Amino acid sequence: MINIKICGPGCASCTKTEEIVRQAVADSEVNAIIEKITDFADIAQLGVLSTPAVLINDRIKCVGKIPTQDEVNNWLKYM
Amino acid sequence: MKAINKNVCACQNPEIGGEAESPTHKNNSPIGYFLKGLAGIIIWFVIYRQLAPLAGYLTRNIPGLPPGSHAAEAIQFFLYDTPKVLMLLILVVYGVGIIRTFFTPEKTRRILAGRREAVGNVLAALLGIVTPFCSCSAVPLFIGFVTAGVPLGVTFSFLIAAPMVNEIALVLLYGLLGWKVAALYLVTGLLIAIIAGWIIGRLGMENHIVDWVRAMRTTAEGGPEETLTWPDRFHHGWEAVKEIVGKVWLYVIAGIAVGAAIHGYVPEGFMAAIMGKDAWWSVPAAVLIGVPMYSNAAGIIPVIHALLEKGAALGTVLAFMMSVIALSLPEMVILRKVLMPRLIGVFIGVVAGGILLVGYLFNLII
Repeated sequence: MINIKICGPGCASCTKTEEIVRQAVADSEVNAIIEKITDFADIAQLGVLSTPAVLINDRIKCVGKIPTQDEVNNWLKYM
Repeated sequence: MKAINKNVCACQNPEIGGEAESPTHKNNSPIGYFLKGLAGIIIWFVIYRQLAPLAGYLTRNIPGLPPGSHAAEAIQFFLYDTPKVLMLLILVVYGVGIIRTFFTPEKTRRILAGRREAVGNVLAALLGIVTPFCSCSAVPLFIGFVTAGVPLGVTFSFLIAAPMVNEIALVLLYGLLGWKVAALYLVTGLLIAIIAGWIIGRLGMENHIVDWVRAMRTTAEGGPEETLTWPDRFHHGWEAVKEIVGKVWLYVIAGIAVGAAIHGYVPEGFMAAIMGKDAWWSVPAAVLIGVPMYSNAAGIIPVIHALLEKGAALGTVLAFMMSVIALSLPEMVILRKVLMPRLIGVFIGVVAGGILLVGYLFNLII
């Protein structure tokens, strides 16, 4: 079971990021919990400076940009 | 030929450090990219040089349009400026997109953490230009900077410079008003960011940050180091063009259309009375009107261009533009989550003061 956190206050890029991550999880059949972190305090606490950001098991995978579908697929493949 | 190119790809160059991880662009060699880029720039220049004659030719050949009429002037202005500005925009956004791959907010924070003021303010303002930053992450960025030991004033220098001095504003100023105005904007914008940040630091307002932020501690570590190959960087540049130009082209065209109408129809010297040098009150009025306006540089500059032609003073117009892009109401509302009202007030006051000074200064010397 892996834990995926998506950080973002809810702007368009963050929503897009969430879509991509959910798609990747569905495709890979990985057992994952997806959390959405919208509170600025929580986002900062995780060490994220710019949004959108994706964390897998609390390790920052990408910050400040929307990851591509390929990138997310790859992260999940090597879990 | 392809096979030879493959040998010089990034995998062999330890400095660029791309192992097989970069999944998308591993088949393209950096040299191929450079050659393509060079060809692109040459083609760009050839087309760019033809724009003015082409606009003139097209305008002369519109049936029923007497040459030299208001309508003809407006149309020629529009036909020339639109492709010119869009082409400049594509070139510069691409270049800046590539430069930005060398900077991240995390790296900038590491450079600024624990920096003394003065030097820190200068560095922060300069980094504000090249660090990718969007105002919707102003709050996490602010928290991340301050809690990792970046001084408050230095953080503000960054937050002021990042939106105010941006490549889109500079391109448009250069394309429509010439390099001198663009350079003036760059220098004065940086000075305002540096000095305003320094003043805020001197005022010692750390206790006007909301409590939960002050209680927090983060480190300047963390975040993965991305290893990018040159093809990756070129790719990023192109993505930036698609994203930014895709977003602002409509504003640019609309702005130029308004500018063209003003250019063709508003009488010469019309703006001199309200926005000219002699109207001392016009600078503060321009700043006051500018703050609640929320626009990007792309939409506002073509209009400014046309105003200048009709006798508005440069200082007044620059002050207006700076207050529109540097001080925005939505950003203040977001920052309210981490700053007490008094600190926001000081922030607005100091920056607006700096913009006023710049406005008066230019009206005085030019």
